[in-house]
Amino acid sequence: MSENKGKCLEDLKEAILNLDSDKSKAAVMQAISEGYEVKTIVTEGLGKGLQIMGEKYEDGDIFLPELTLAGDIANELMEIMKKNLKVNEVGSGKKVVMATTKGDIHDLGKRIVGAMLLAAGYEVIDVGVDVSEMKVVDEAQRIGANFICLSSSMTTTMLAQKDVIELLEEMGLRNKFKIVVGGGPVSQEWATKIGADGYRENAFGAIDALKELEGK
Amino acid sequence: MKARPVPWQFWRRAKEGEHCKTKEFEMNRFYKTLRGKIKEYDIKYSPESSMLPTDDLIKAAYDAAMDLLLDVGILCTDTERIIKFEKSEVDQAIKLIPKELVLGSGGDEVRIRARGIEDRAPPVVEGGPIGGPVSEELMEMAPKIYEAYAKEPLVDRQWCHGYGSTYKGMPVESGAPIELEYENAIVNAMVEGIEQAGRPGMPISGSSAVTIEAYMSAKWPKGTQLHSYIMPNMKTDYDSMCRALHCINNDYMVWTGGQAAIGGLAGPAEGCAITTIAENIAGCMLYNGVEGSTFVINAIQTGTTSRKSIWANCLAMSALARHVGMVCRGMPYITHAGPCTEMAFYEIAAATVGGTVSGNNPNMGTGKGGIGVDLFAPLHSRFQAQVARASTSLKREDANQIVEIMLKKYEADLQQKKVPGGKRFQDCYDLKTLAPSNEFNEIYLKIVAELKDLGVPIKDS
Repeated sequence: MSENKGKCLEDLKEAILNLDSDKSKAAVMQAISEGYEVKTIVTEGLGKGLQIMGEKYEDGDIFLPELTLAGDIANELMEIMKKNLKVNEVGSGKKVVMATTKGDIHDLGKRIVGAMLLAAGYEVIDVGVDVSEMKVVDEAQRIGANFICLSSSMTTTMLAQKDVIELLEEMGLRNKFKIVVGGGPVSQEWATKIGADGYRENAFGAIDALKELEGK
Repeated sequence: MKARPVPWQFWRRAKEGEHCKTKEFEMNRFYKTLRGKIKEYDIKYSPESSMLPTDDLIKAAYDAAMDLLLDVGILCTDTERIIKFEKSEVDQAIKLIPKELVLGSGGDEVRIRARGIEDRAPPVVEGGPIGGPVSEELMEMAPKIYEAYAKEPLVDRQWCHGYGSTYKGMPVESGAPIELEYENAIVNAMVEGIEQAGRPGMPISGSSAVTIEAYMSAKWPKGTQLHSYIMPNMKTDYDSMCRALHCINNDYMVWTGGQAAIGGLAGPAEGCAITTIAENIAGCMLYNGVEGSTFVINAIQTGTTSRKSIWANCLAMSALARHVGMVCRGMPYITHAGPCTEMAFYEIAAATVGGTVSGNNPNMGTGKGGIGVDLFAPLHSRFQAQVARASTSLKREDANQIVEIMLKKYEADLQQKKVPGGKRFQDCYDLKTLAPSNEFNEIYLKIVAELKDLGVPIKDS
């Protein structure tokens, strides 16, 4: 038994890398039965696998579909852990609402960011594309989000990022959420101008932006 | 050009085809099939791959794309139903694709042909502030921008594109009246600009409108082309069909194409090449597109001149030229570096040599991956036109050597993210004379000389 202790965490990492949903679920169940805490399962098994997937994506060895599948499997595993363990033991509990702003149907960048945040252990709710400011705010309130990530690919649609922030201010909710903006025409200058809390030029910077804001 | 029929037989399938959720389509239909076709047809990219494809690889990529189109179809996202095609319908559509188009009007008319691989005929070159944002400062003198491009005699046509953020002191908000007003202003500025340059019938195309209301509101001149793309990946929607119908009913030619991104849903460079071929054929069928395009971009770096992007674009372009025979545009479209830098010229040269020899009609837009503001330059289009014309004397082997040499000039910097942002149009051009600065001109002449030394027969402008 002692020889095999910890093997389930290695199996979990491998199953994530192989995008094998069944084996990853079995590995998580094994880890729970062996008495591992959620923190250990996430950091030593799931997290390691997801971290390698993220690195592989950055190196061009895997692509958005694989990253999405890994994120989907991670979601399923988190659900299993929630059912089998106390909810407050699962992850950091930081929730992110993300959306492409009103009038804009570009979603590639947002999806990459979403998959990477999921892989980094955030709970991600993707509201979709062409999303009105009210829907963004409603969704963020509904799930009790910590972050709102807004993506826009056109100068005509990045204006809606400002609309979301203004709506939050009007509703007296601005301090409830940290706002991170991104997308092709979006710049640090724009983010500062509209009062966003964070900005990064590309998808890989999104995790850093959120981590940075978590400490504030 | 006589209007082509409205493809109701395909649009009807958006209401009657097999139901499929978008995520199911993307992950289990499109991507799984695409991966299978890459393997089945043994289509492989490696950094050592020749940038200009062999005949066998071109045929394999075309066959894989045809299989992909027939096996997967196109998903209509409004109805979440799949539009499927029969092989005979695809064959018939390919037969009907025009081999030559007449663009523009009067003495400025341009004939653009479906070029072949290693075609000796000169390509039609397109310029304009394509794909990147334009500041309000420049919008106030927008006709001058288009005049500057029209003053370049080797630039055959312009793409009326360029997103503004404010107009008349108001934010250009998509769907608001100001967006329609802005779209009209852009078209009027372009018409005024080409008239000022003495080329009133110069062909124009494009549209910078986000919403269909703005797209339909502008009054475009005769001989205009407007775009309607296949949405990434292998998808369409009612909006795109409505845009095509608007064009068909108003005698605007539709140009089409795909938007595959390396690292995105189409996966690797191989997948993007295959998807781009399939999406161009689909665009001809679904929108009556008469011209295609290849714009394989990198999902993260958002430029089209990386080694992988050029390889994928050359392969897609070659397959469309050889096996479909359609007029096509593209490459480089968007560079990584901005104007007034050596790197931007090297990027343009690499993509233009590769693209022209693959059968492309090249176009040139903005720098810094379309992210920076006002990062465009008519001098880039002049340079591209010179390189494109010189490339018509090159065989694939020669072109491959030139592309390799150009790539080696910048790809290390690209990988290490040491890309120069360059200078804005207003910082590297004299806005009164519309001439490039001495610094910019010297860089241009240096790179032209380098290419001449390599045996590229560039003629002085």
